[in-house]
Amino acid sequence: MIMRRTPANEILIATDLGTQKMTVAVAEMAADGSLTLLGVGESSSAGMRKAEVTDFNHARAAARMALAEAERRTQAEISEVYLTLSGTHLSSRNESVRVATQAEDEHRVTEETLDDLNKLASNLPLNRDHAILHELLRGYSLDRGVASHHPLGVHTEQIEAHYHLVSGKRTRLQTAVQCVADQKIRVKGCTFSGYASGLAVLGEEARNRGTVVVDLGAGVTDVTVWRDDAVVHSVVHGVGGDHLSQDLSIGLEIPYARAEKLKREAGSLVLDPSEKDEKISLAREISFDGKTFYKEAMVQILQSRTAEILEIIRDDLEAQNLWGAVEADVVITGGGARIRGLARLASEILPRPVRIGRARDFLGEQGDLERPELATVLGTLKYAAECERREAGQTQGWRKIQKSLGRMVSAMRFLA
Amino acid sequence: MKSIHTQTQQVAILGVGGTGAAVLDNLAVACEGEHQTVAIDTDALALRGTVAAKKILVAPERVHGMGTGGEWELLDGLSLEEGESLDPILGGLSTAIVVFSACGGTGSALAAGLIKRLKKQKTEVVVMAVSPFAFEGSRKKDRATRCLHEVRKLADVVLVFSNERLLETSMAKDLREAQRGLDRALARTAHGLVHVMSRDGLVHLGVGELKEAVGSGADAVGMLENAWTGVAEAAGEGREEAVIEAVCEDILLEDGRAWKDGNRVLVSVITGPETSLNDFHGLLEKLRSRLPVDLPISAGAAVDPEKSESISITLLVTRRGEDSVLPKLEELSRPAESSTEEVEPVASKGRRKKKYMAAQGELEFDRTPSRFVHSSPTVRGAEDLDRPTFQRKGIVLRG
Repeated sequence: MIMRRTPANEILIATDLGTQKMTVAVAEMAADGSLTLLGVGESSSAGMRKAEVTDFNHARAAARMALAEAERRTQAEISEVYLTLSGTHLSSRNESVRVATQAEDEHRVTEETLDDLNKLASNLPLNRDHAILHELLRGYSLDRGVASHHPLGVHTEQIEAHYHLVSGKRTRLQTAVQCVADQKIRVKGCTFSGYASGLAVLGEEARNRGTVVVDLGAGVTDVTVWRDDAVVHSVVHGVGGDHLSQDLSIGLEIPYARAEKLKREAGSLVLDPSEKDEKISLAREISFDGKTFYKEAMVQILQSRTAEILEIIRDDLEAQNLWGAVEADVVITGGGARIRGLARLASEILPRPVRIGRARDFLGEQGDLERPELATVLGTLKYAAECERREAGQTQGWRKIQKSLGRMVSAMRFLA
Repeated sequence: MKSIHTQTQQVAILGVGGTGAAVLDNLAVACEGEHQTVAIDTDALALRGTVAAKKILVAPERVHGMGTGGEWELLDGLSLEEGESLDPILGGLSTAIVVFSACGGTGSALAAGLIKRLKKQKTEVVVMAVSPFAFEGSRKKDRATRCLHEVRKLADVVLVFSNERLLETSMAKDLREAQRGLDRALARTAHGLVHVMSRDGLVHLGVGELKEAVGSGADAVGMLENAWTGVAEAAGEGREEAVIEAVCEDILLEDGRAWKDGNRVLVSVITGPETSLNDFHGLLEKLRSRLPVDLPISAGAAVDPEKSESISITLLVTRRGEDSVLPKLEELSRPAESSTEEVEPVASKGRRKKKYMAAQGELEFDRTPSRFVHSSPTVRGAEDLDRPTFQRKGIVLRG
């Protein structure tokens, strides 16, 4: 049976073109906004490195297989998707824009005032070859002092809106979108994977108190810092699980595919005293003679690379003076979070408590929520729900239609 | 002209910035034989793509291996004057040919510091610089003039080739292709110079002869262009006549500017071991009679055992200039980049320009695993993070 959209329920589909895996998640959004996870389709990735398309034909073919697999598993007809994007070409910065309120409105903040701020933010200058991916609102300041998240109707001489802008190289964003669009599937919206992971695993309290979300993906590591229910910092580091597998492959002199399998099945960052002299034997295969090595060597390789990634994250946030804003903890998601001993190693290196993230606020299949590697695609479903809710508000008047369309368009400027 | 010379000198070609790397790549493609080459750049991706034997990534902590894109804020104060990583690479060089573009990018910013460093260790320095097109505006021209002024105070020989020459050639319709042609010509010129300077050979041509041909300064004409080059190779029967004809008609000499503004000619000949000193003199006489104007000629010849049936000539026309006629820098318009100082004259008074000693590290790109070879390199500090951590940190694996 092919599930189609009805007025009562909305089928949302999120696609994550990952470096190791292409994942498609399907959820049903009820009228009250709750999401029921219907299923997840996964297939091996190809033509991707560091979360970017390096071989278009292979990446496109892999996307086609992942989408077909998702259709098969969820019985949903996929005609439009929300897409997750990442890569080291992404950059972010915080910006503020300010307008004065009108005397004719008795200096009250109106919807038009907020629209004006949004328009100003949309026109903030970017690098010539960049396109905006997100203009994430961080909050408002009234008369250069009082902070507010809901300023509508408040009296103030002037109002300042603070945004976290995420942009990326236009051509690279377009190439990723094209991989999906070539399957005759409309890309309805795009989101930064780090932002999506945060949406998946953080509750309101964590977002307010200050939390760091680290998504240890295969190609890259996304880091977002949340504070006061908004993203205040985001960065993509060009190292990830692929580097761990590669290091194993070189250090242990085994094929890359075997190294990847070894990392998934037996990868560990800790070595118990009883394992000190333990050896691992990889069976002989076609074009591989087999290999035996000390488990300690494997741990040395994985530990040195993982510690380095965590130190990069620590130093970057230290340089930005952001650790002070983090009152809660560090949440780790992504496939890299599965490696044994990660939370312990991260707790030793990072100055805040560390936990492995679990997606939340989904009904339906709960087993998939436990998988940290699905945080990005599940978070993209939440982002999609947010966009759909905003779009649904259009029916409440032409003013809202304009506003909503403006936001949607500005959020996907590079899709044009 | 000195007589038979058999001493072998260590001559390296250092390519700085994008133009430097392009010349080194052309050297590898178009010129046979081994060259000691070093590419120095702020752009890790460009370095990864070049074929130079040694690759030095500069200022990774400032630009993170992304290059400067000619941005003044990133280039301001960059210097290679100090830092230990370059010492083992530059040490022991008797002569260095430094190739860069003086058009305001990484090459312009780093060249002077590099030359200072080479001179400090008593290396003779020959600069091959490229100056900008006139249509690129006065800002670039001023930057080039300042850069070359500084470089002329430091280097033994400064040869400046102008991009402008390309506009006068039949390649002008496609300037990118024309620039590739100039890169190739510079590579072959450097190749010719290295041979006559370093090889066991017939007649040695050294930095002294080059210095004599170029002088220590430049007049108004030669400030942004004092060298023109033509390169040709011929093999088989009648090769002498063929190579002379071809070199005189080289596309970069075709507009006649070299013969109008140049006042010296340097010739580098690479030929087979059967060529005698008399043959060489005969060749020079033929060349002299073919040149459109009568100019003093200095020549060097190197023997390449593998070139018994062929001959190649590099013709370098130069304009000699003296220090005394150098234009005064103060007469140049101030660069637009320092406009902030003009806006805030009080604040800028007495402020000393901060020199930024750029970190430099040799990146062992050749050992970069192929898995990431087609992706943007991940560089932090001077480290290529695409290489295994345990290797970079020297961790000995239990085995």
